[in-house]
Amino acid sequence: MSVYIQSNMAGHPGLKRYARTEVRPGEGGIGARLFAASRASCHEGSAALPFGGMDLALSSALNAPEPRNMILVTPAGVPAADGRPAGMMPSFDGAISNEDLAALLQYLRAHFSDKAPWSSLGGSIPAARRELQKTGQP
Amino acid sequence: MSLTLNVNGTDREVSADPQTPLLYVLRNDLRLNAAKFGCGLGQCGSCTVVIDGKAVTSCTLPIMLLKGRRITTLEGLGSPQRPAPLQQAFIDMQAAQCGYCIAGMMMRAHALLMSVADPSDAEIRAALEPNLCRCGTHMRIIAAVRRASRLAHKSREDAR
Repeated sequence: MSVYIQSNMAGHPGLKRYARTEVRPGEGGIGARLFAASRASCHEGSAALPFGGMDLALSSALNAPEPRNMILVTPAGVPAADGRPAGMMPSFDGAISNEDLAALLQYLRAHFSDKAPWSSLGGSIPAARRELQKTGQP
Repeated sequence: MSLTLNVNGTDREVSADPQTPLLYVLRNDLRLNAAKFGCGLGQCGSCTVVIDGKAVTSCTLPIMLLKGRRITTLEGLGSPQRPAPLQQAFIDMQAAQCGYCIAGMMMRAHALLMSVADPSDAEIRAALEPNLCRCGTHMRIIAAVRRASRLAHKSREDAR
């Protein structure tokens, strides 16, 4: 347990300086275009938390050795908390296919972290999403 | 750039940038004005439509993801002359005040009723939770979804 907490909480994850995502029509890979089209308005917007999205360079899920938490949170979103102000993220589960999710997460990993690409990404997605369906979230 | 979207059972040709949110294409290009622009961030639910049986906020959904997907908007459920059971239930229960959230509420309820024909109050509340209503119509909305479930059950019985 302490190893797990240490791995998630120990100091700042390697904070990478990154350029804002800008994609001209017809350019960029599918991951970059997806991020620019549907995620950047929150995650690279000017609003502070909880109204804007978190700075993804600070995300422990995105800097983790395994992609599992990113695979789960991207489709599931973060539901609104009951009775107190808190950040939320819409669910993208009905919107995004496994292939597009893989492309998006590879782009995020390369753009917002300085870690190596996830090798197991494509193979882990279908099983993780099936698990998501079973738990009823979202 | 031209792209084919299947909306309410019909293939529609649209000319738009692939990054355009579905909501803009529905309202501006296809003149389907039921889905509303609320926050533009997927946080209020007024733009909710159903894609392949799942409720999705169309304001954060670029059309590049929608090749070969089945899009259903409120217009696809029924018409003013022949409302679907869900629409009839909202009329019966007068479940609207300003009405801005209602199209989204109905589409989220539609997705629920497709997967759970007879939902409990708790299931209705949990399913509709992502959609906001600032008028406070919630109790009537919940009653309308309950009624829709009964009406759909009755029309299935009658069809037997």
